[in-house]
Amino acid sequence: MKILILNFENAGWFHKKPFFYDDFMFDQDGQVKRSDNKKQYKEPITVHQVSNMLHVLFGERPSASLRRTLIKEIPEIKEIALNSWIKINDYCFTNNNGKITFFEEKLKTKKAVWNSWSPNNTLLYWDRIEKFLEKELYEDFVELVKKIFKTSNPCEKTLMKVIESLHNNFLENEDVKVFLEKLKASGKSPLYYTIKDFELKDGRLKNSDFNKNSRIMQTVCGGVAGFIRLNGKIIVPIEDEKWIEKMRMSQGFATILDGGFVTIEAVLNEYEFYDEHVFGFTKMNEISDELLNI
Amino acid sequence: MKNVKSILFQLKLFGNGIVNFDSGDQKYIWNSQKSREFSNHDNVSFAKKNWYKEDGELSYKIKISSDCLRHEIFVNDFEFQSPNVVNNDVLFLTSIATPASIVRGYLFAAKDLTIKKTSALTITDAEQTNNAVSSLETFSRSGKKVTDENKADTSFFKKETVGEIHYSAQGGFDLKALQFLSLSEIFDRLAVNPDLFPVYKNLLKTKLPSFNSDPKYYQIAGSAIQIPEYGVLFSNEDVVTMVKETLKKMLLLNITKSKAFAKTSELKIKLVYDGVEDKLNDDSGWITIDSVESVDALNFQTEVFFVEEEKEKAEALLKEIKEVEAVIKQKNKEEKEAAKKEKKGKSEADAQAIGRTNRQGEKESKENED
Repeated sequence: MKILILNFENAGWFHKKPFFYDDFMFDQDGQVKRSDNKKQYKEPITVHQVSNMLHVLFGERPSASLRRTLIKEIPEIKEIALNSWIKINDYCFTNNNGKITFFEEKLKTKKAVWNSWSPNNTLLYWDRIEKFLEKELYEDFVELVKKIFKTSNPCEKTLMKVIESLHNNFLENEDVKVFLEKLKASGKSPLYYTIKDFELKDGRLKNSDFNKNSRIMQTVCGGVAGFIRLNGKIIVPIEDEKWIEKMRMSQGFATILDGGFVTIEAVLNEYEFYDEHVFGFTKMNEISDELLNI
Repeated sequence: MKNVKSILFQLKLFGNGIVNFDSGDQKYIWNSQKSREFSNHDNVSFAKKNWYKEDGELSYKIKISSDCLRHEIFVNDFEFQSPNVVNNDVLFLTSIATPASIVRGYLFAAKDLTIKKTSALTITDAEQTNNAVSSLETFSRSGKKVTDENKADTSFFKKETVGEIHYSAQGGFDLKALQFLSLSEIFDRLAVNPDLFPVYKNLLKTKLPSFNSDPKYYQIAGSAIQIPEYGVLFSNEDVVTMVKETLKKMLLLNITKSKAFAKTSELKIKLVYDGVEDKLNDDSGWITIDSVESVDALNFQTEVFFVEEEKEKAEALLKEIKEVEAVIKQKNKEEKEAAKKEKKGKSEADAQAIGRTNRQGEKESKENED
């Protein structure tokens, strides 16, 4: 028997983040909602993550445990993972008030799906409203602004100022009323409601419906997420030395969780290994692989 | 010549100032340190850190995150991942048909077709190695406030600063992941739409002139899973070129911010011939890369991790798998719809029961009033 000692560092754990109704994942069944499947482990590293990491170390393909994929894990490697020990360095502390605080850092994430529209408040400007209203209605709007503000160049004022002024001073104006009805009849109700209920938040329009409109959709390229970096050691007893030979032919390192770098620290003979080596470690088969209902 | 299975590296940087900031939420950890000034404000910029607990005391080391390093290494080729490029085939293929994209990896998810390539480069955070001590400095900013006329035009804010600082990171190139480009969804790693491969090939050749491989069926050599995968195997020359290009980017890495910088001071690599013997923590076998010329002088033979499979045999097996998968997918779809209907029926029944209870309650209270 050989004892494999592995170091892992920089393993990113997205800790107990609730899934939103529009969080998806993609597997053999196509697009599935994460929230429908309650797919998140309670513990940061379970036997599934260690097993997949060992698959790669032994030159085999890993098998996703939370998504449906074609291949299953190799039972022998899963058994090796179950008999391993793990120790994760401290990733939280308890303050004087007894509150547990995690060593969490913020990460800028990049969206992978192209049509994640921004649900946030928006900014309107003349080019954008021209695309939104289309030719005829836009010309009507420009004529209205020219008439109301007695100007030959309506664009000299920002669109946000124009809308604010229409809301504050001209809602009872007959021409404005006619135009508002026209907006509603043409299916351009976001502008109707914006003029009627104009409200700003942090300098942006408190209305995200414009962002959903296919003509002027603003898609999100990224977001912000909090996560925790984990470091530690994994001790893997290996009965059959064929796996050591497979490791020699493989790349010699693997990954775990998000970006975690797993390297071989040592391969010990059985007689070089003592009980003290696993002091402070937890056996993988004692770690729960319970799925969270978030 | 022995074959190289992977390449490990150690990267050292030196700099001045903080190049990688974290969010203001870090103040809850910062304020738990006994030996540091308390930070009560929200407008504080903290450096990214690795935190440690020793004898109940918190300490930290400033770091540059692996995501920041990865972004800066590939910034000239892949400025940021934007899913909007999928709307135009040529634009999309132009962005992924580059050596940088193949090494860096990418993911473009969609209902009908998800395109992804696992990164062949693994890199850790670059953690502080010298004893530089950071502190929170107060700064002021003048500028007319547009939102609130009652507020003064000068604002104060705090920012963590540090002087000269040294960092160290490590990582590796996974040559198995780099060597193969999948054109199949079978293992959920379709990297290029096979219908568009001819266009992809022409675009990649402009950046990687030695690329001349055609799609075939391959299996991982010695794997227990004997399912063939349709894809493209890069030649040794292709792999060596892509690794060298990335090493040059790492050697010339220079992260600059308005008041700080961090650049490479040392780069060492180790060619792994034996996954068990050639370890990261072993001092022997390291090659120092100190110039672009020394990268160009590198020469190695990559292990071939894949063996070709006969086309007819592969296609027959894949056809069988596809038929079974279609049955499973249909069964899952029907089960999901049945579960949805049951859930809908249950919630309607619950709503009716609640309605009946409410009406009963109203009737009783009316009777009581009478």
